[in-house]
Amino acid sequence: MHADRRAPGVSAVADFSGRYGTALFFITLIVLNAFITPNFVSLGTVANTLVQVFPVMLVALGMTMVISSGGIDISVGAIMAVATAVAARLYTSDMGFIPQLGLFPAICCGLVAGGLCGLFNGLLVAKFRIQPIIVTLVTMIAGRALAHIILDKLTTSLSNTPFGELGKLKPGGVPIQIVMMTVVVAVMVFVARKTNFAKRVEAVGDNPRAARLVGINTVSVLIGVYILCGVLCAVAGMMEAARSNIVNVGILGKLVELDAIAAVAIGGTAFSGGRARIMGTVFGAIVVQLVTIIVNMNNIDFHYSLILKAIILIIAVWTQRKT
Amino acid sequence: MTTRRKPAILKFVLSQGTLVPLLVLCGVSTLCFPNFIEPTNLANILKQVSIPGIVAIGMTFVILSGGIDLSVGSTVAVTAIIMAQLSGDSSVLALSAAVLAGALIGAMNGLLIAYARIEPFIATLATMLGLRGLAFIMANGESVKTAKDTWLAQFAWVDIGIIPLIGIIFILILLVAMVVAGHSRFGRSLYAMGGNEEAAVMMGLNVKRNKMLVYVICGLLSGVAGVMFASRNGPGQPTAAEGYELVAIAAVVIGGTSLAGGIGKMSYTLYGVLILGVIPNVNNHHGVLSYWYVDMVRGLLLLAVILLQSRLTRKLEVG
Repeated sequence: MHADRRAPGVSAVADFSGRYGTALFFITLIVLNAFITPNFVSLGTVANTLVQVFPVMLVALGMTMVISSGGIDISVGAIMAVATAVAARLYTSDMGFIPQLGLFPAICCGLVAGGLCGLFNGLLVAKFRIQPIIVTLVTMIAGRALAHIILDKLTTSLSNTPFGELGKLKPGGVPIQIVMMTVVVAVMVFVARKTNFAKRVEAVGDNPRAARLVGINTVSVLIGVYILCGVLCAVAGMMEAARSNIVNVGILGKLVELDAIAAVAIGGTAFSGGRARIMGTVFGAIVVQLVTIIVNMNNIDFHYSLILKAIILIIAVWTQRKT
Repeated sequence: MTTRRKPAILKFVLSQGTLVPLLVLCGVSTLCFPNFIEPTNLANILKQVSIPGIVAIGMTFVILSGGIDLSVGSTVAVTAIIMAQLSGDSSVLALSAAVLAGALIGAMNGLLIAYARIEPFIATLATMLGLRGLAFIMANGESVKTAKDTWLAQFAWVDIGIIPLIGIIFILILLVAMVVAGHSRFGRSLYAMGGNEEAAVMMGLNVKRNKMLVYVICGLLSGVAGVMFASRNGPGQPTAAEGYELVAIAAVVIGGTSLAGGIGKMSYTLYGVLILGVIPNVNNHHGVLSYWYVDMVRGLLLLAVILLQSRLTRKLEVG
């Protein structure tokens, strides 16, 4: 959007690095590791990376739309905890007035809970016009507490239940996380490229006043964006709990907002709002996860990955900033 | 800006940030729990809010200038570890190295934000991550013991009368910060930058240098808080002060300073810090609610304040 103002020669290079920078970086990271990391090039590693990136990927996709609308959502980890707590509580015990539910209704309730958290964020941002970072800060602080109150304890085990089995399904030998992720990415790419919704989100993110003046219902667009993000967080939270057999509301989704924001930044979506780069975010999420895995596989102290992520985040934003 | 006249009392209430809610909260607490108002308990509250309070003062500078600093918690952790690791050698060295490290971290944030023009939220998110990693690496994942017999390791436990020394340090820093923010050239340019950065540039203010300074101050104060943290809690923990950035931001906002920048006062932050400190204090003493409900109450309170604020400020602007 902003590249067209530059001189033609510069614009071609800048455009290329802006559009494909993440992909180039991604390929470099893969090639480099094919040489330095033992057993990196194997189907197992690829599958492992994709399974582990699942929660960050889903959250980052929701975050991409939120950031595209000019907002930010730091409550994603807390929403993961709330939604999963609702599903797990309804699934594992009766709540007195609500009977114990089966797997499918419980998961639906979890999705609704995630959506409601998003609705709360969206209403405050759109209707009350409070800055997104403050709104989602409230949800972040109160949400994890709410999750704890709903679950009534810190942890619940899901092992040997159909809920737990859900995270280990392998339809056709492919882990369910990869299947779901492919579907979600495909849907999000479709939404971002082909629907009016994404265009409205971009318009609101670019210039909210202009968007309102041309007749876009900015309130419903913003609410929709935060609900979408909340539902994706709910899916991420419940699947992560199913994969690890345990719901720990103190830990589930903690710091995922940082990885997700880093993924979006690396993917090239501008933090001032504007076009949502879904495929950029997909690569960004994998890059973030690759850093974690590479550090693990080379027996480097896990905490070096934090420093690496910080440096990558800075470089990504610095090279993509508007001039 | 107002076209309609407002009652004088409402004007006063509005001009005082959240002083009135704080007084109401204290009043209700005293009515419900008479020993809330006892001097030892009040001293206890002061003791508990001092360290996050100093961080919140730095955060107020940043927020007034229109920025945000998410890295303060990690800065406290890194500086606490530096102080703990060096305290065996020399107290003076440990103190100055920790505070200097805080200022350097702030300078790094300032460089990224003012000169590399990365948004404050993203830049400090990155340094928050990176510094937390650094804290773990420096401590080798374990806690670092502080030498127990030095003055530096003990000053955070000293009480003068019943008033804690760290509380006095907090109040002194707050007073200096109030003068700097309210009555200095630098303070006025803070408000100008936060209100409208482009206009501030056009007025000829050196916005870049001032931004740099803002983050250096915030980092330096986080370093001071880190030293106190290490002295108060003994070993320097790599997980120390996690979530301090949220407490500090919440305190500034609950106090009544706008996150949009340029609106608010340093003294408001004291109210915010105290409101956030009174809630768990009442709870600790009387065990009304479980630990988790405290977070819930904090969240709802933050929500109530921002809703009220957005209504009041809009009324003032629209008239």
